[in-house]
Amino acid sequence: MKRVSTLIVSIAIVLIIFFPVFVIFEWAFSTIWYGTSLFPTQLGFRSFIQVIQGGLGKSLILSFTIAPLVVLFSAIISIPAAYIIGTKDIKSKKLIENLFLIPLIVPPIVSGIGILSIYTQLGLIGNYMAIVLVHMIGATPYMFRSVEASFESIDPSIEEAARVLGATRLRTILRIYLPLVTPGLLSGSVFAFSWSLNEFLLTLLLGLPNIVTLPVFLYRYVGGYYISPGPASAISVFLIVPSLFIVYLMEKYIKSEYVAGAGIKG
Amino acid sequence: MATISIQNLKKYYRKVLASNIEALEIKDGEFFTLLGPSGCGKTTTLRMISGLISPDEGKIIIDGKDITKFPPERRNLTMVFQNFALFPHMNVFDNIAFGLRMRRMPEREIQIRVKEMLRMLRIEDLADRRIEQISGGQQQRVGVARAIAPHPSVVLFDEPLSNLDAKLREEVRYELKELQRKVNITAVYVTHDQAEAMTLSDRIAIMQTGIIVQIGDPKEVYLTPVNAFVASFIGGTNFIEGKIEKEISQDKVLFRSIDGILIEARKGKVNNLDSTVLLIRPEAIELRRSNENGIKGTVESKMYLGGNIEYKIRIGQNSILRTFSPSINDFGDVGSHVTVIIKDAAIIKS
Amino acid sequence: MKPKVKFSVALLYLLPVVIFYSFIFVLPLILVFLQSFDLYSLGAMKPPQFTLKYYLEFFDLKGPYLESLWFSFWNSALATIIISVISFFLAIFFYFINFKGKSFISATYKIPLFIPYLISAFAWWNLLSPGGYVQRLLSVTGIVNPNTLLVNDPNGIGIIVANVWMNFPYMVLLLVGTLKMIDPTLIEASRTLGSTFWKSVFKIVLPLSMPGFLAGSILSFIGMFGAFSVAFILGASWPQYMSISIYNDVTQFSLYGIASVQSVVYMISAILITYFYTKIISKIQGERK
Repeated sequence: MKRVSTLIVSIAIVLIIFFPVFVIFEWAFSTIWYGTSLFPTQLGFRSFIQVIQGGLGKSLILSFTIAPLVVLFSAIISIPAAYIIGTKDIKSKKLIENLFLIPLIVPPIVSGIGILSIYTQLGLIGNYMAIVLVHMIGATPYMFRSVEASFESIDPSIEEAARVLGATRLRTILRIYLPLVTPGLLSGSVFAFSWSLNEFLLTLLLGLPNIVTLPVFLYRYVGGYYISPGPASAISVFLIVPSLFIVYLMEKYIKSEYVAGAGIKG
Repeated sequence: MATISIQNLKKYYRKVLASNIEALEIKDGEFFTLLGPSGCGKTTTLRMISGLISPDEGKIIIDGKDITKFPPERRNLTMVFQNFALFPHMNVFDNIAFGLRMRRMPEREIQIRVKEMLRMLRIEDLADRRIEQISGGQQQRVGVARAIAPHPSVVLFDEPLSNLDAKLREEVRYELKELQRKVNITAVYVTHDQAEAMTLSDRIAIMQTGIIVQIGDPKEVYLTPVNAFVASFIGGTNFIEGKIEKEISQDKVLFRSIDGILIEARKGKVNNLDSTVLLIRPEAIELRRSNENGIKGTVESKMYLGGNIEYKIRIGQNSILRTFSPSINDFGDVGSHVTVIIKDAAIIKS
Repeated sequence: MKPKVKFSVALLYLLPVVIFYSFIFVLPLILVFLQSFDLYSLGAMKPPQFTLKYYLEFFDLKGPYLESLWFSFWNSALATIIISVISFFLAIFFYFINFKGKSFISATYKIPLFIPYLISAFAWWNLLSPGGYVQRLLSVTGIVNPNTLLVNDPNGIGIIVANVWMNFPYMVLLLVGTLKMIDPTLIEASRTLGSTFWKSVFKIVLPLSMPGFLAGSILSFIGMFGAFSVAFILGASWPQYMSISIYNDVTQFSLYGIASVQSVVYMISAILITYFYTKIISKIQGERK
């Protein structure tokens, strides 16, 4: 009985997960597909060529250079905060931790229209670094919570030992703490990177016409009144394939249950 | 109340037999203990009786019914856990009532039964408390109450006192025994603490690497251990090597030690006369002044323990005996001569 | 023991984050708030003059805005409930059962986490739009009327399906983590006391995993409540998620006043929901203490 239900659940999971992915691949490799038929009539690379000519390369570069910068900068501003909150006993600790959640609770469109006004006046629409800053809004809370959880788990007497041996606070953070909070940094980086790659609304509002990240590029083919499934799917394939690799790799080498756990406290 | 019969029970853990019980019969109402060091298979065996793990081979029969394939919830036995395993989201009353509610007992009867349990375990005023509010010792009582409440035929105990501090352990030990006697349930108890096993059990089974090495009542196991492992596990030991010289009576022999000393000894559990090891418990040795009659020895080492002094007395080139003597009788420093009287000795398997 | 530190000292370390958020987050919110009263103009320069007209327009019961807010709420809430139920059973499945190929399945269910939202939304648009495989399957088997729209529909069915698909892995991960924190001997004790496996799950595991479960679901819910991309691809022209409504008002109609009011109410709703939700969770936990 257990065997049968296990099999059913496993098959259901595989089907439900892969079906959408499968359809995207179908569309990506189809050149002719009539609305009434079940399968494409003709396969080919036309969609891929179309999007490459449409600027896929530029979008890939933009997305994959902005994301690491987002990770870097959110780490830089998060680490001192995570250090002081995680390793010390402060009265308003809970309050501060909750404050970090606010950027995730407030719908992005709300701050988006305000930033639109500021950026327009400052001439920052379509500015690369300005977009990085905007991506950091949602990435930083994840980075902070991850790193803070790591700091929390470190025995406070380690810092005392370091100080007693002559290390300044800065030295202590750099040489003692940073190596120890690497798990939190890694997991926070994964979240922050993913957030930046995914970010659509704010980049759409504030990045055009220069900053066309992958989601915005994709939007060109799915937004508006006419959806072009072919090219949209081709773009999607570019993102899905590396994602699949990462997922199966991660499952093999990292316990992603713990990665997710870093996002929520107890 | 129930009899338990275990036949050919085997459990493998990565190709090694973690538990291998050929035959075991536990009597109705008996307090039966599985005793042994960690890794000896006692917990594995207990968990197979409970149904929490399935054996690879063999049968478990309770009161004539083969329950080997039954899941735990159908076996009508309960378990008391080492870490108490009380449900943190329920109060004391609901914890004790849990088994009764699972058996669909009418709520009114549950009230009566739980109150009875609270009284029996002397935790009446704890009924409304949350689990985290009560002490370790109290949690333990709740665990026992919870296990007894549903009228199980057998209660299993998985090292229930190990998480209590030493003083508490002694107090609870005594109460547990009284309780079991009063309620007259068959108990299977697992522990690595020989004092616990000795005070609580009607019979003890000593286990080593998955097998039962000896079964007997506490006195029998203590005085007549079958081999050195059992002997050392259950009490203090002195082992003397040598040979059995001759039989004196039906259960007594004369033993000649490797240094030629003659000692009278009980045959013990040994059938043939080939054994070469003699067991002398430290308390079976009496020290007297060197001018008295007996085995001559010299003090090899001496350790002051407060009320007692631990002596190591050399009685031969290859034989040193360890014993205790009240500090009042000081037999002198290292090197002094003493006389050793051996009051009891037993042959064990070599 | 962690050393006590005064807040004023801590502030130094918090300064980078505080400065960052002040300019990129708090300032824009203030501007939006001011615009809602016409005290500031997000669009063309205008002299400030205090007015409540935009607020009146928003709270007009005959108007579209309250309906939009309500739609955003119930649609996300329904998705959250569905996700919670599915995730709970899946988490139990992964926690208790071991089988050959488990790590493959364990990796597979996490895939949606690594696919950008826009793409997931698009994929489900593919499957659920008329002619899409799932839509065909459901009509042919009679589960759904062939004429019923599953995407760009007034019930937001497509939105719910896509949201569930994208978010359930996160909840499963969270729940499995929570389950691992429950003492396994509790379940053993429950079984030796006569409860079957499923009874133990509902009477012991579920109550004990509730706090972690609820804490996780609130973030999930709020994320869906305020989201844009999924509603953008799969939503209908009416009713709209509030995020879409605000976006259109700003980019298409330049109606900054009403857009700001919607934003303010949207934001306050999200914060209030989170606040009351966490209050309820603490109350439940408090009752247990």
